Amino acid sequence: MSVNETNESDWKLAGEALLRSYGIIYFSQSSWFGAVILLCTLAVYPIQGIIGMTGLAISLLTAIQLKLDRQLVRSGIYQFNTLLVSLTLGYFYRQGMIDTVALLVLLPCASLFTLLVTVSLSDIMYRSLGIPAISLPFVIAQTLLIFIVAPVATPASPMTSAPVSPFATNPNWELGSIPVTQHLLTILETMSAILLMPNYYIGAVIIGAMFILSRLYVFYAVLGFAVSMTVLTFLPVSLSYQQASMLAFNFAFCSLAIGGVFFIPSRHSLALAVFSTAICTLIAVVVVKIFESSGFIPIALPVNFVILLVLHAMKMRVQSGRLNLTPFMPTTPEDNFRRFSLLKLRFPEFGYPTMRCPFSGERTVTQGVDSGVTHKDDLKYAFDFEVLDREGEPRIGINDDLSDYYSFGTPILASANGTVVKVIDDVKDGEPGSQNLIDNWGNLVILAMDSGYYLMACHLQRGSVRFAEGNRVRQGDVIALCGNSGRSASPHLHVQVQTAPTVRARTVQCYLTHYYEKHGRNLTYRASGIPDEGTIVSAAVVNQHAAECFARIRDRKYRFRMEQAGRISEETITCTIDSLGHLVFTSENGDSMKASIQGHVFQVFDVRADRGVLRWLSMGLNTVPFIDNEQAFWQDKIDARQYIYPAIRWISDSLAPFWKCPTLRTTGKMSHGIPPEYANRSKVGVITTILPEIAPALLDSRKLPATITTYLSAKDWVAAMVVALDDPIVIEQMSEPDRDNIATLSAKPTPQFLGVARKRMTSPF
Amino acid sequence: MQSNGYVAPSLTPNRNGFFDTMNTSHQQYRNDQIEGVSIEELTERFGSPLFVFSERALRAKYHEAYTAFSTRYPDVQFAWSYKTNYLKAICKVFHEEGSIAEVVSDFEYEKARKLGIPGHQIIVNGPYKSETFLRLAVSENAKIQVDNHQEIGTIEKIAEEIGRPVNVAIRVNMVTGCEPAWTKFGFNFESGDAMLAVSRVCSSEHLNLVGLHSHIGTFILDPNQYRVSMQNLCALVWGAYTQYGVEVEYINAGGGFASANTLHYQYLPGKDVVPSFNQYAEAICDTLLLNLPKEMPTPKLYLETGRALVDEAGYLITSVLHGRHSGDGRQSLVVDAGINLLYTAAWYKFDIQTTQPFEGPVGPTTLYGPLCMNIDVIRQEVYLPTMSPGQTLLIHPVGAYNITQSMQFITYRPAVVMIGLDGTVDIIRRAENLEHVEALEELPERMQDKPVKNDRRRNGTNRLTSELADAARR
Ligand SMILES: Cc1ncc(COP(=O)(O)O)c(C=O)c1O
Repeated sequence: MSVNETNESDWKLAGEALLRSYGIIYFSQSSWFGAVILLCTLAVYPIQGIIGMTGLAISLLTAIQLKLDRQLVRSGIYQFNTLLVSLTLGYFYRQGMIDTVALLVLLPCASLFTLLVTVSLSDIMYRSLGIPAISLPFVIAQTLLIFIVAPVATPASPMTSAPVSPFATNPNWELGSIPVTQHLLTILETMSAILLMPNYYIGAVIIGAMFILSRLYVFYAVLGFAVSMTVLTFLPVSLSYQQASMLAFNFAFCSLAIGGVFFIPSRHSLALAVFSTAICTLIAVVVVKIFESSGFIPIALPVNFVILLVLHAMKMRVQSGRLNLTPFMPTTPEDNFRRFSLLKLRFPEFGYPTMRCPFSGERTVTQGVDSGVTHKDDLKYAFDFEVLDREGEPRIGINDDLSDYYSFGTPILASANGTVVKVIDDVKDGEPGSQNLIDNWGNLVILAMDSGYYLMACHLQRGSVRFAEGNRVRQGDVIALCGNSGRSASPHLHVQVQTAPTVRARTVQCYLTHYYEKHGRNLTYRASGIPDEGTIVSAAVVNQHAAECFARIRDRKYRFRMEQAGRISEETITCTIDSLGHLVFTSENGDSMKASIQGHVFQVFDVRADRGVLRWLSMGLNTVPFIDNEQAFWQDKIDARQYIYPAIRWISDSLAPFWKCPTLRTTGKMSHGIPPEYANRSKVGVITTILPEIAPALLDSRKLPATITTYLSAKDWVAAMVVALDDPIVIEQMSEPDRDNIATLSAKPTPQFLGVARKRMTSPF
Repeated sequence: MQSNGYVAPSLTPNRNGFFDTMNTSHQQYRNDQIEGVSIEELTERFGSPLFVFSERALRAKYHEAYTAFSTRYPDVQFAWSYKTNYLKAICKVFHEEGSIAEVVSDFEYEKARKLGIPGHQIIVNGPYKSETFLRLAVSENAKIQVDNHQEIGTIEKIAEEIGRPVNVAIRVNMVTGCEPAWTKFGFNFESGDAMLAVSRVCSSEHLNLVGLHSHIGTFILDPNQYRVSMQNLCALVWGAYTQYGVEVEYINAGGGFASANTLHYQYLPGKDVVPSFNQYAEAICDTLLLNLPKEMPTPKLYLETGRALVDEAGYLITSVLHGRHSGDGRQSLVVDAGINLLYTAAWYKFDIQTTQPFEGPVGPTTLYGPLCMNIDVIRQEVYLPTMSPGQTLLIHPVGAYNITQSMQFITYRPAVVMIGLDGTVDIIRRAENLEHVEALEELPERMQDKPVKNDRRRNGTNRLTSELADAARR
């Protein structure tokens, strides 16, 4: 929790939470969208709107006083149910179903009751099912209200009362006979029906605001509506027009929630959305039949039922395949998609166990995942590593002596910090070519990694294990030597990650981290990956100089000076750390980005920077492994969105989920050859080249640099940065006199010094 | 191949105790090609004598050595020891494989820089580094390994002038069992001078201690000597770490691994007794991993191995000029390569292989070079068949130190070729001619003849040279 958050005033929090409570009804986290909804509720039915807001305020202030989680209060998750319940009361009042006295009694009670239900249900459902409560508290509270209000209500149920919209001239239309234009009006109406204010005008404003926020919102809403209307048309029993228009938001929301919010939008989520909406329609028919006699229907029941059903069922899958649940707080479908795609492209290991290379030097993966004879079924997530020479031979010379094998006797290292839980160390090393099928795994060590998974290393040399059961080991410790015991025809290391500390436990997918893959002469650094069979891998060595540049960057302010074509600007960037341990960089101009230092890589993500220094930092430092091999290069992706022409961006944003995420490919490499003008402040340089991965015609290439060279400093994080544009940009860290000694001060940029930097631009290598 | 015609009968004394149980007489085995290229073709194209290097062998050796170390220690970097063989093509192969450079003079430094190696990838060794050289090395961030106290002083002075601290490593000498101990270089461990140097560097505001270096000697046949040297360096690492909080970034274990050559005093052939890279690696890496402080990041391990990487990749083809048998049956052969090309003949009993089928028995032979000096002996005693003029012999391994230490003396130095991975043969050093030899000579003007006369004479010399070359080829 950062410092300024605890100091934040309750009123500021309440204001923010108020707006978001309105927005989140439509799955939006945007404050301006919330404000639009708020105004809508006040504009047409001011009394009902004020009742709604009052109920919300009661709940909100109580929540703050009760010191509930401020993040959840702020997001509106704790309040929007209360808002909906209060609006229901407002509706009853407007319809004359309750009088003022009843309202004054019911409003605070319902408001606080709903808050309690929301808080409890959120926790219960999150813990036991891992799914959110969405508007289930509203459904519960509204159902209870129906029982309380029904006796005093007028016999005319609201569902059959006069239509509120001026266009619905024939309330008894059968659905099948409604003209298409009427359907379009119904969509508008139903978008405001969730607010218990079915009204074309409010609906139109909401749809308009949604369209600005996200084209996919509107697409999914219309899709859901169309699906359900089609289903209803073909059903033997059907709904009346009024019922349909009051309930239709269920279908729009179901489609939206499944297709674009809780699942990452894709062709697959689209199919699931269509299917779920059809189910939702049937559920709606049933709910209407059950509640018809009570005079009022818990209007959000169908959509809640279906969303929770689908979410829970989909959580039970073993693998997500191409239908992915949104693993973060959802925003618009377009944003969800882009964010998820980049995370998945860039951090495939997310959610999987990881390990470092259990050896040093180069080894070939002689048997990979799900391959050969032995890496199959439950045991398929395993690797065999063997040292081979250039000719692919495992040994030197022509003799067949164990000691002639390159692998034999080489140290096996702990892949992670952990505790040794099982050791077998007395199986004889077999002659090359022999197979010991009795002690299949030979000598082995099982390590309980601190991540909670177990790692098994087998075929070790007899008597070579250096730790006993119960010993603690650190990543990189020599745990044994490579041998040829067990079912091993030539000395090699077999490693697998498993869910239990036993010898035949089920294996799980595991990512190797911080390593090189060698293809011919090319050495590629990978922050994480699953090497294919035949790949030559080696552990990446940590470069302390590079690591040092990122060791103390948090809780500091950085002042940068940026020069482009004679224009000079200055910018201050603050680096703080959030509750998840991520570094959060914010610029005084509002730009922001996050970064993590996991293992030995600095990786930038969630970039919201399109103006100043942070934009270039986010590109130039997209991924910086702390390695010192200047031959190695690494690749990564950057969101191409901000380089797409704005007109095209509107379309590409919405089409991307059904096509692919527009990205740029960055290739980075370390450079220890620092030009003299930076040599006093920087020991490590990073050169990033950028290439589009989409049709270049879509991109505003004038804004896209070819390379960015960053000079890192142990004291100041980024000492300088040169961005190769037509008008090159030179960014310099402005040293603070109290922090820097005289030597660094003398290296302060002078006009001549900048001139040198610019000249270098033509050839950044 | 036609028969050699009449072969004079020779008697070989049956020396008591001579049993070839170890098959040491393998020298006589015929080898008519190198990496699939016939020796006849090589001499036809490039003349005799001829140095031949195999690119495949260079790369395979590098890979074998690097694998032995990198599979036993997490952070290993080789530095190609230029003095061992600084032909551009040879250096380039090692640089391509991932080696940085190790130099011991400004000349070698220039050579490495010209090959495209940046200063920070060059280790600068040597008992004497001039101030000018040190300034250059400092300005290009070269990895300087200081040798003596005077040098520390010079570097401190330079650092003060340029206003930033300079990174240095310290070379340490010690007793490891290598006789005689190489005490000429660096600071002595046993006397405490090395720790003194560590203290001096660590407490100097102008210097950063980044590494410790020892090169205990060359052709070390006992890997355990490296256990001693690594233990001693670890002691210094501990000293720097505990007393000054300095975490050294690298340990440089130097070179000195033996190649598969046979020393004069050795009875068994070198390739059977020389330790494998695995054995050296185990000694060095094991000792380091056991003795380094666990609390600090594992330092990088540099190796400057020279001869062990390049020796076996080099061959010398030489032709028999004439031979004779003495009364005791001993054959004396004079070949066209002398010890001016084979500096290491003083160390090694090279393998001598015939390149053509032969008839008759093999007998004790003394192999002389063509120089008119009595010491020009390549092998005092080797078992060879009777050889006739024009036949070639293959001398191996000769890749290390011979090219760099060869001298032009009496004869021209021959061409050096490299057989590429695909079997193509390229010249990597042309054969010398008079122009090369006289390139730097000046004849004072007062001694010069008239221009016209002079011209004719030079033509005459050239003609003579080419005639001689033709004759040699024949
Ligand atoms: C400092 C230093 N490093 C490395 C070497 C290379 O030694 P070798 O060829 O024995 O491996 C030498 C040779 O003398 C040397 O002096």
